[in-house]
Amino acid sequence: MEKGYLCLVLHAHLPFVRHPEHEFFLEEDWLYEAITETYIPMIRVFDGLIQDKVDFRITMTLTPSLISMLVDPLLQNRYLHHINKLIELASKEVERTRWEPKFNHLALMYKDLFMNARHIFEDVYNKNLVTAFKKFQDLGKLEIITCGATHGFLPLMEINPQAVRAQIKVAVDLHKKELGRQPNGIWLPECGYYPGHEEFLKENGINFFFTDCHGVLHASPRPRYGVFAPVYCKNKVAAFGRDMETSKQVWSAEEGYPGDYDYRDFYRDIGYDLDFEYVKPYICPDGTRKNTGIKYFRITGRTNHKEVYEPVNALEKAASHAGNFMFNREKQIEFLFDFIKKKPIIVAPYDAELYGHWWFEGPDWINFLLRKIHHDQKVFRTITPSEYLQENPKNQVCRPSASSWGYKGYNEVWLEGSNDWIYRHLHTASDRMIELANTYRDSFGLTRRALKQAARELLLAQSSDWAFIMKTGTMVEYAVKRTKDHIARFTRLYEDIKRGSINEEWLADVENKDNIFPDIDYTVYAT
Amino acid sequence: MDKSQLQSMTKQELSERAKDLNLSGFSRMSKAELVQLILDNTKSEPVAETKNSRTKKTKASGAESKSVSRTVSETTTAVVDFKDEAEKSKYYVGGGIREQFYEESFVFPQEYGSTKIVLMVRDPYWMYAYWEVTYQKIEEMKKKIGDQFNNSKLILRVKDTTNSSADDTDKYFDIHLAPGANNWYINVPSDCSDYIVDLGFLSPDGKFYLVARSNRISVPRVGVSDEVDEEYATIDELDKIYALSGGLSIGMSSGEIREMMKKRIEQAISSGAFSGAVSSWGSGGLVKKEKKERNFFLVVNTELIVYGATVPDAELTIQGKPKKLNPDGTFSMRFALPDGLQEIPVKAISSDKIDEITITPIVSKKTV
Repeated sequence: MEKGYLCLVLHAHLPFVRHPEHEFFLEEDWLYEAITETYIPMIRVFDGLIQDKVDFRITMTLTPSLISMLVDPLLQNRYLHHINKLIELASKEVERTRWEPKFNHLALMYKDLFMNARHIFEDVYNKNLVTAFKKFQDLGKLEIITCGATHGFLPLMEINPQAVRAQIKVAVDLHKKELGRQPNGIWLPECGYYPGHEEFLKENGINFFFTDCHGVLHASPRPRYGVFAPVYCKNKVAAFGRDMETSKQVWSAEEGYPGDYDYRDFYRDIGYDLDFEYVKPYICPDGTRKNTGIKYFRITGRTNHKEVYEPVNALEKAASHAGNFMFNREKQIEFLFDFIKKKPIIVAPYDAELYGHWWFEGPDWINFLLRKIHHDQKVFRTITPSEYLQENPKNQVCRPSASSWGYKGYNEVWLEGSNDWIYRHLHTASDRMIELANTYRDSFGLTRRALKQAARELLLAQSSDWAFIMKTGTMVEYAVKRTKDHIARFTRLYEDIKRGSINEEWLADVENKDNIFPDIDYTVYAT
Repeated sequence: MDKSQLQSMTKQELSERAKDLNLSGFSRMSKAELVQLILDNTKSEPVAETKNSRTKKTKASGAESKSVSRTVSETTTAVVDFKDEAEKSKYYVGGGIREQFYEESFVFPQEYGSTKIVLMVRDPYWMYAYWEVTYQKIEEMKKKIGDQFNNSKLILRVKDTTNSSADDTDKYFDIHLAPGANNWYINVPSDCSDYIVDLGFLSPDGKFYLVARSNRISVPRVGVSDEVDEEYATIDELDKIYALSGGLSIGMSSGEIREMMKKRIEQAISSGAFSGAVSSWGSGGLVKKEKKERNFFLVVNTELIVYGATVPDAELTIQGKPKKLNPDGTFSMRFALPDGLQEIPVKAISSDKIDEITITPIVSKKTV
């Protein structure tokens, strides 16, 4: 009998970026890169585990905005175009590097990876990767949870509780539609918890959420089992706290795995390294260089000097890091089990895009880890939160503390000098949406379309990604543009609806551009 | 960090920073003096005078050679926490800064025409308020305050309403606003408390005229709760589990642990050292003083282009590998050219297999 559980959580999210009005749009690469480098490699890992009859449990968020993009025909076809271009470039690379065996080997590796990605995308899952994750869900290996509809940071919406409610309700509706079942849990965007939000979760049939370590640890009364057991809020929605030890092993600059010098370097990309004329067809149409995804160097060290990537060494490192992670969990769980006289649950959440995109070998690491856990030890097993709650229905009742997993643990990432100006507009738009929903409870025709679109625009403006990007300083102009465009569209809709004069042609254009949540129920904003 | 950024910090934060810089004698300084001290000590480091020069000559002979320029996309900076880096990387695809075309011709409103103040939580020690006061409201206040209006100051009255209503509480303090300000970060005296902020005019005779009242918010507690469910566990057990959860060494008394955790969190919030308030990996020392790498560099690569033409339906091989011809019979291939000797036989065979021509360029490259 095992002595405890490991709950691995992968949070897969990208903001809704879709620009039918442009032939090429750089920020759509966020999705294409994540598909090639994270989602497909993870699907490959899961399929392999199932084929080899390795039992495993993973919890994964598929955020509503990500799902919406993955099922969108325009983006599916654009991805196909993208991966075809990449295969073409990789093929050229195979030729170009003919006299340099080390690079040639890597060019072949990329060509294989891209062709396999296209195969999985097009032939196996018919361009819709949501069906892949649904398959793993239906097999009982993957628990898919939801998130805020557009990843709005909920603690900073406190002034408009209806806006919080809408983020959750719209998310659950979409989740049910695309995954065929009610989500039992939620990843609060950025782990942002504000006391009381569990009520909105309960209303929507959600039974658990996650907080950062201190969300549970600073709960009141003090939690008997620390973060090694969930606590119930008063309404019996469970809160699982993040374990710091597992987080440290992956994220720490000193000891974290992804920084190993044998792993592939993220920044050096042939889009920047090679002759302009040669890479021109694969970068921005205006000639601005960008990442292509073909990267030949390993991290090597802390300087700009980089050496050629050697996949065999990297793979060996991934295996030994997986072994190290498992060993540490065994020790941790054995110790805790003796100490608390109860099976501890170790909750280890990560951004899914860390695996594969940033940490190229991440999916291999997960693959090794799950196989080792299955074959090489008996101290613990992987578990989903739903299974845990079924097996351990009795938990202490506490009031978790406000918290997030952002820098410094609270709300500062999304509320500081670079981005605080947005809240005035977001809050006003929320007030106005509530006003519209209250005024037009029953509507039809053009007014109804406009009301639904207004709700979409508000939700899109609320994505925490925009505030995050403004703070971090990459692609800031785009984040500002998105905030302004959505607020602008919302404001025009609000005024047009109230005046009773809606421009149908303009509305149709906006509906076509911001086509997220086709079945949205705008009355969720009514009070 | 520039002067205005420093000025926006609290004195405690400034002291922390001064400590990080190994400065001394600042404990009795005023805030302005502290800012100046830090500024004086963070001016850019002197640049070393020696010049590194490297010479490498590249020779290519026998065929066309083309040089490849390389730019390093991002200078590698010291990574303090992979999580931040990795999260950022999600949105990093290169491409540089572009001008954005706004889809809507829309002027972002500065104001929305209603008087209100909204309060938000930033963390246990900080709140953020923004507000708007309409012209009509100002007129109304003028009438109400009368002659004294011109000498009245717009202030924020920050009220602790943890144990009483906003009207009854005697725990409050005032913030005198800079002219034209419409938002403010508020440093609060105690965590785990409820606050309401009143925006209003303070007249010279000390009377407060309310313009708008904010929503009520709760700032979270720093550290563990005092409340203990005795049926569940003893304090001692709780301290141990707390230490385990946060990665502290076991065996400290509850008071010690609480004090230590509190210090860590305070430090974290003021110095900004770590994410996740109780991580062991955040404990101090994370503000790294990496040695500055000199960024000067030179990279020279060589590529070789082999191109030509034959009859469109001929079969062509280059170094024994088949090469597809363009529809007009031309072909072009480029290779990264390493040092050494390359023989590149290019062979064309007519579609009826009767004619065959081979031409072999031999290229040698040496880098010295």
